[in-house]
Amino acid sequence: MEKYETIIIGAGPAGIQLAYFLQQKQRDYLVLEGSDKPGSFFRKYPRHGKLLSINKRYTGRDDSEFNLRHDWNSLLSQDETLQMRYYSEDYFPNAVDFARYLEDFAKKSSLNIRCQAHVSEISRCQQSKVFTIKVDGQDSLQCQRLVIATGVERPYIPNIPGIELATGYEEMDLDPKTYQNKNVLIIGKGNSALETADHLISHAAVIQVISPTPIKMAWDTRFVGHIRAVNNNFFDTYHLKSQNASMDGEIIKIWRNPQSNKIVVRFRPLHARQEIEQLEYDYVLRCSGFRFDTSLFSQQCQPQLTPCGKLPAMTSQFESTNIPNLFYAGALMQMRDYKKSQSAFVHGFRYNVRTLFNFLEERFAQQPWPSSEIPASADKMATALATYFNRISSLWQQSGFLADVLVCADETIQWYHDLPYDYVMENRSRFGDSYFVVMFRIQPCPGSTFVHARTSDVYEGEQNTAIHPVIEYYKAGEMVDKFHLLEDLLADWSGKEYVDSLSAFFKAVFAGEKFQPPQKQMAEQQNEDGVIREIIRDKQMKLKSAVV
Amino acid sequence: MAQYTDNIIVGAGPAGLQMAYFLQQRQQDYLIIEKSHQAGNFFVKFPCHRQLLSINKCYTGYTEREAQLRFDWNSLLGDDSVLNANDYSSEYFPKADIIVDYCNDYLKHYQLNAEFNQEIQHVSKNGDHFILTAAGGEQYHCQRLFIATGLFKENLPDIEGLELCKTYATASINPEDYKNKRVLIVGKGNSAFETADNLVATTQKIQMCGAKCVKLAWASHYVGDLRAVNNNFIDTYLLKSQNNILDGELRRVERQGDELIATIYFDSRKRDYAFPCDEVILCTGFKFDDTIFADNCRPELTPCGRLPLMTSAWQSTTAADLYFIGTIMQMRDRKKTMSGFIHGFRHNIKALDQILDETAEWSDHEVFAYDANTLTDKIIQRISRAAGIFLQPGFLCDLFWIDKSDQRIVYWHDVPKQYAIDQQMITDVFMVTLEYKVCDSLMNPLNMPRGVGVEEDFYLHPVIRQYEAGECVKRYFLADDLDNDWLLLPEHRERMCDIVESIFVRDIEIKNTEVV
Repeated sequence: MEKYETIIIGAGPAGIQLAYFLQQKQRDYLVLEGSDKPGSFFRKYPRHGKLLSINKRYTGRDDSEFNLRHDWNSLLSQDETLQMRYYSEDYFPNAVDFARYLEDFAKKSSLNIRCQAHVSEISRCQQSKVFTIKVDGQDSLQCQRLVIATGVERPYIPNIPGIELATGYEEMDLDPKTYQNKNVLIIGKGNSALETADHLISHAAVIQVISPTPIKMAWDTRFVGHIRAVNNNFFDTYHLKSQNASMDGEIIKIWRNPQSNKIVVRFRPLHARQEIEQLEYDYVLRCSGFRFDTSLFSQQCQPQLTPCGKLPAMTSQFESTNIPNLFYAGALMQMRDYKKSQSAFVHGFRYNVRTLFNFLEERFAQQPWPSSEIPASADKMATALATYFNRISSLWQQSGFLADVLVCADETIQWYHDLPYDYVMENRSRFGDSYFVVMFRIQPCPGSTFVHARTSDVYEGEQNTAIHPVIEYYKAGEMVDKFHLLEDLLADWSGKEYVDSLSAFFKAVFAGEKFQPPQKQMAEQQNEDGVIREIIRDKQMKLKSAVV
Repeated sequence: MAQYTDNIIVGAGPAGLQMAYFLQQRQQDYLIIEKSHQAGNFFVKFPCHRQLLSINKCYTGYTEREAQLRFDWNSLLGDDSVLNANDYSSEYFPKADIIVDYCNDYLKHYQLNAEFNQEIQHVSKNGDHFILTAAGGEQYHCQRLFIATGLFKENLPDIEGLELCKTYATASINPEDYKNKRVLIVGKGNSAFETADNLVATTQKIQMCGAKCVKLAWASHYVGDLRAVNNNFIDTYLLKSQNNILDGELRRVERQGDELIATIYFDSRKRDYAFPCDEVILCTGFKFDDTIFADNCRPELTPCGRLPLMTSAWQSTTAADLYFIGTIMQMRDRKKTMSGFIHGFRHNIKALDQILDETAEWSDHEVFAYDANTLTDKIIQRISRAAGIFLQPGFLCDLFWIDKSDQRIVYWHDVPKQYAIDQQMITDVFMVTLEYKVCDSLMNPLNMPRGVGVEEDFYLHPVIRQYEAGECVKRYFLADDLDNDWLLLPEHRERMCDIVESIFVRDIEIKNTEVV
């Protein structure tokens, strides 16, 4: 029987990303892929072929770390040719181009992937704790550590009587002519539902979208999985009264009217008149998302799920809560930051996967967590961090989720990278008596996103909603101080006032004092007509007054 | 040798053609004078990125032309349904080229009188005649003049360094020309966003600025505010992808070395900031060109100078017999209803034609028996199918007059509301409109309660106003309908019956009524 230390199931972006790191270290691993090529999910999904992850090829900078902030598709690699920018010129690339990229990535990185290896059962020996993986019902492989990187691939079917009359997103007909002059109901109000609606706008007579949860726009929530502007055209067709509608309601029952042969949907509107309504449609499309598929797991090896049953439950190290040595990589990782940061997307989970790799290395290969060292001086730390904030992509993309820990010793600071914030909170003793936790933060604007003033005082960063760095200081396991660096319109924190404010914070901490912002000073000079004028260079952006 | 025509229309765009159509129907003497060689020539270049924002919904499930027009924002009105914009494209947002083809076909189909390649350079008045002089010296005289020239002159800010800026009309639309550049776009309307969206993939950074904050059409219900199809750029700001939207006003542009420095004033901080960039593109809209008018007939302009002032009958406030048609009509309902667009002004022009018709009081009307059921049916039919009152909500209205002595009801269609008030058409009538309720700016239109038993719904709903001696004494509201079709649900009819009952027997008190 074939044996490996680590087996990864699924050669999608997450499986490939983890394999890349294992390959770099020459670990004993194998990736099993059911289809004939890596990245097969993207040959079918999203159904309308466009990715929502941006591919901004021009950023004005050559720094590949910085550029990853605006490249949401590429995987992490030392090989500079393996970037999505070389595979598509589109801001929102075609999914097939991404599939082609993944295929190339696997090939060029010489990853150990076995295609057309369809996993039929996963079991685990109670004594030896070894996983046995049945491929195509016959060959069995064994491993000590199993990583599930299969994504969320099984359609989530809401529990509604008659739901089988609805056609699923995964199988619906994409030809708009099919829906010509028809009444269409779309179940769901996420990006897949709205992408579907937008596609049918020119041909359907009436399109209605329905789900129990109200619309959430990504530009409000700052979560890129909520409705994206590029998919929101449908809402104009409702609010400018062009026959379509978006409804908040709960479907009670679906059945076919034998006389009209139409599909009848009975639903309870969330707020309109509070009466049960009943409408007839030619087509009902189900775009209610995806869930984790547990059918591969044997009875003895059923992983615990979240209460909603859509995702596996996992620890802050991405390990199953009930099956040791079973890990999750990729979109499944969103269980840890559901609808907050970007673990559901390549630009989030590529970093999580690297973090998972570091956990595996630490635990099973006794490798130290990647770190660097800097002198324990307030000024030097301030300068180092300001530079870091200007280019680091992992903390930027995974704001509030991944954090760096700067552990204080007498003379030096040991700087650990990309730990899950939850893990750091759960393992405070690991980092000793005195340490800083550094991350980015972004949050929804209170009130209206479009009429929101931005503060300009470097010591009022706490009021920021736009992305900005946050530093927490821990002493004896308790957070004793916290500093929000003021947001910058161009995300450039190399300006003197930023560095000075950081330095002032560190000085206070090292002196054992609680940080107090200094008295406000009028530093600017006024010219004759009383209007203050500054030239703001790319490198010293001082504008913080922008209002959306 | 001067040529005399009763009515002259300057401009063979959609508005000029629409006016000509109605004048021809009434066998009036008229002539269109167009400076270019064809009809609809503006649409050869504009909108620059070629996609129209006016919907072309080919499939509505309705067979009546009137109901289809609610969702066809590009066609002109005509007496047959042979000529529809729907036949020129199946795209929801068609390419602007179809308007050019459509206009020329419309002109030919209805055999409208037009002279091409005649650019009117001067308009003056002699007695009650207008004298129009073309570039080649030809003169035209007329009694009544219709200006249908649209808005083609760019409204550029008066700033230092204007010559360093490109404009919406002059900037390259090839994204390759902006590779890795920093672009400042001035303006926050659809043209600004359409320009930004075209450049997101190739620019390094786009800053968009304007004194006012972004207004979304889905919140204001005004189709000229930022449309969803153009708003992708907002995500690139709020999801931190290098671009920005700033609430500031451009003050000046200077060249410094190989870059431009744009100075922007932020009212919230009462100060200027300077932004280095490679290109500045002004997308600050268009304004009315009044340079052709002589002093004796120069129309008075709005305080902002962008539009001519006009009465509720779209007549110049200073020059008699001078009418404004087409997008210029938006002066009357600026940023509220749709007079700036074909689907709004085509109905305005139909109304204007009736205003000008001295032979009939309001030809688009019907007379029927004094009977509650008939009246109920008529009202429900109109609010569910009519295009004018639907597309110009609260701006155009239906009026009905209950003539008890003759036991009949007279029902006028698509009357401009303010005109009806100004002309005392409303002494003892009922007014039917479709309206939105103005809602709090902090309410989220994407999550707004519909029909929760509030007296007046937020979404489009019918309102019936009762006028006595010229005063509105009572308002009746119908609930909104998901399909804007009040024929579908029996409860709408029941409610309408109650209203009509109350109208017939005026002392009955019913719910959802507001005494003003």
